[in-house]
Amino acid sequence: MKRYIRRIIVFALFLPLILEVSVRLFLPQQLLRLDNYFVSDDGLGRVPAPNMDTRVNTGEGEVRYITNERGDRIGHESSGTASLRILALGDSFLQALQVNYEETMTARTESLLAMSLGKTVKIDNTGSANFDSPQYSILMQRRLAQEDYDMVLVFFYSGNDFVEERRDYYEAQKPSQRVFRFPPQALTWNAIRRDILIPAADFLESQSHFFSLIKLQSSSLMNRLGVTGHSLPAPLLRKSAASKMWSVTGAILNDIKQEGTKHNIPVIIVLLPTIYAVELDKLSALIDQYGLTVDDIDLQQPSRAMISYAQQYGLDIVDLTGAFRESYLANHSRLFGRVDSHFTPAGHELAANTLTPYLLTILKGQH
Amino acid sequence: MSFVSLEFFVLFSVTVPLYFMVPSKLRIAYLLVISCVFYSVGSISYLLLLFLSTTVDYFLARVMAPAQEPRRRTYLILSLAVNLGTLGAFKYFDFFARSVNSLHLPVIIGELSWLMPIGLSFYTFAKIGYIVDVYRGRQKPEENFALFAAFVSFFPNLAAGPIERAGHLIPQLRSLKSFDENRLTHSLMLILLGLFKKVVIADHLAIYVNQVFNQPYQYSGLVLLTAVIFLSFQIYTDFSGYTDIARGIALLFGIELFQNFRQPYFALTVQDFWRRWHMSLTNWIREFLFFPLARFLLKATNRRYPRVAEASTYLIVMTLIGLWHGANWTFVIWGMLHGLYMVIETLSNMLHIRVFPTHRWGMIAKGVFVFSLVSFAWIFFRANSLSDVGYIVSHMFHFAAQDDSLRQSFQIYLSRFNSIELEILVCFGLILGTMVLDWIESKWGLVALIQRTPLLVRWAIYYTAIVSIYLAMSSVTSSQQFIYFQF
Repeated sequence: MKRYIRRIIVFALFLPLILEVSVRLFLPQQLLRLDNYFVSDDGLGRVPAPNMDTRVNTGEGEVRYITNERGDRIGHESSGTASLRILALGDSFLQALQVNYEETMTARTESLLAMSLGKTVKIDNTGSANFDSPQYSILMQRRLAQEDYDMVLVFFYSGNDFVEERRDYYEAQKPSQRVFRFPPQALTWNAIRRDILIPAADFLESQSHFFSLIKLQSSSLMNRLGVTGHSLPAPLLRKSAASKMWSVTGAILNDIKQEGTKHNIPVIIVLLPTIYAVELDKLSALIDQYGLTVDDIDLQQPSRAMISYAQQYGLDIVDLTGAFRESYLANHSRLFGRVDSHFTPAGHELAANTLTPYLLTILKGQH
Repeated sequence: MSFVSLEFFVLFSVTVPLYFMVPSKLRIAYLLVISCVFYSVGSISYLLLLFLSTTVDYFLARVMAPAQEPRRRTYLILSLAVNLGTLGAFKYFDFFARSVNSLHLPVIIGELSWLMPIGLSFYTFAKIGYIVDVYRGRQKPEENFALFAAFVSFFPNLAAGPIERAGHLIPQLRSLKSFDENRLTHSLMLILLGLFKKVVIADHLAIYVNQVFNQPYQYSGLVLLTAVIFLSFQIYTDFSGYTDIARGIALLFGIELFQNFRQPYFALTVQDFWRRWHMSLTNWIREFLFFPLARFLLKATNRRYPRVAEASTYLIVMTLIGLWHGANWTFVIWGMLHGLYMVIETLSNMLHIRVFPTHRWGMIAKGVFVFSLVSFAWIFFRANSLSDVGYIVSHMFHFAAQDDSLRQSFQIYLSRFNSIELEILVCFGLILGTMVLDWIESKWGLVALIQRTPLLVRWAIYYTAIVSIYLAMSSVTSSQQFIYFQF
């Protein structure tokens, strides 16, 4: 019996190592610590670090990441001057750490517009992970006060850009400092957690693919058991219908439009779909994962909100949801990453192809 | 509750080790309690139904045993009425109502819209088997209610079988065994094998099958044909995987459940297929339906037309098997089709028609032919409607030159390796792997062979299986319920 138990223990000890190798090979996770790519900013919280030229891998393959002196994402051959200048505002979908600059929707739109209009076009990509719609408004005011643009594009992600609070200021965020201390400062649960468990988990999260995967899976279990509050994107939940996020976000977008009007430039809101609104099998997996039912979900809520903003505030809106869904249904196009569920190069290409004709109509109408 | 769920894993990890700490006298009660807990997660109301129907059969069997005819028969009929009535109300009433209403008669039958309790078809058959055995005097009525209730509700086989017989399970429950490390190893291997079949093979193939069968009109030719082949292996590995897990879990408690599969796709006739497929159901059907019906038909025809009686029995029994699987015309036709295959086989045997030569390659060709017949029938089993069946059958042999649709259809699998060729290879590799596993099982017995291998090889097999299962569970786009849970 003792020999049997000893064997089981040895077997179990090797298992995490083997799983780590296997997960790294077949199901790599995102180990990126975003702290390294951002700097604190008084007013916006944190913004992309300026003058970077590095390589990033969020799990979808290595890409080159270059920023200019203002922290805007640029390509290695980007030029600073152009006869048509567009300001692009957005979050991680716009920053697009998953693809090379040349594959981003802004770069593609830039070249499609340049080809069609026969002049040089420059889209300033100010996308920053974790930006919300109030930050778009703050950044837009800041940029328009400094430079002249011909158009503003707001890449609005339907998964998390609807907010319940209007803010005009974000305090500068400092990177978290967690230090491993052994022995802990005190033999209390809080001290052990602070000095050992959290730094150890941080370390594993930045080093171990298997740990990251387990953490992701356990968070869904905890959610199903009601222990944590992780959930589906709130704008997709039917219970959010009465939330104040719809009216607050509408007002923020109207502010953005008014700012554009003040500077006499058009503002176009581009609604980016979530993976769940496009790949319905992903949605059903998530419904199972969170113990929800189909009736708890209303995929059309974000699009309906945009239609109502268009009617209420006269906003110009391009909703990419339909184009993405059609493309997925027709060709099973891989528009979202498998490890990192932002847009793939195909997703960016589709977004640019869908957006450009609309922009051309507006730009030609201006002249 | 599905065996492939985190809830099950957590409950299982807690309840099984506790079982061996419970005093042996209380183990049957403990087993009954955990069976109820597993069954009631997600559907507590159906536990009451299970308890009521178990109580009715327990008392009816007890009063039936000492009674004389015709009272005995009355008790039997009462029990059958309760069991089949419950099954009928939950499973077939709405189907009946819809079928009658579609005839546009002056009468409209309202639907009940009751959700069918998980495992109802399985435990109803187990109880009917018990009550008929008591009636025939082959089984003593169980005096201990807890033991009888544990037999009916034993959680490993409650949801989707194997359909156990009282004479096989009750004696094992009565003398529950204590912990044994060899048995633990054996049971864990069965669980691992079952999970591998279900999660790695069945769920992977299911992605393709669901894609095609849920929108068949978008496809034709090779894509449809591939989906049908994948479907055959998906159903098999899903159900046999479930059975392996159920048998492994039961073995942890020292209980041996019936074997349910014996390399069905190696069958050389359709009748042979049914001797290898869902064996606990076919054995049950043979004893309680096939033989009594065949005897009745022979008697009704004064034994003048034995072949007609045999053919009629096949057709009726297989149609009923189809109906048992689901209240839908697609299942009925699936059953009838198998009945028809068997009638044709019986006739060709009678007329000594030999299509395939008896040498090795002839036998292989015969096996492939039988597999094709069975696979063709699976279309009815899986399709969402008869019109879908019509489309699939009429378009699956439309091949076009320079058609890239098959390659394109594997796009849904694209993983990080971004290679369609690799995905195609994986899918067909899994099918080949299934056949190899079956071949090893038929030659040496898979578990026995692994147990004979050196420690390091054995561990490598375990690690590979665990890693494959974990990766498959972590990456599958949508986890699939066990197919047979719906029956």
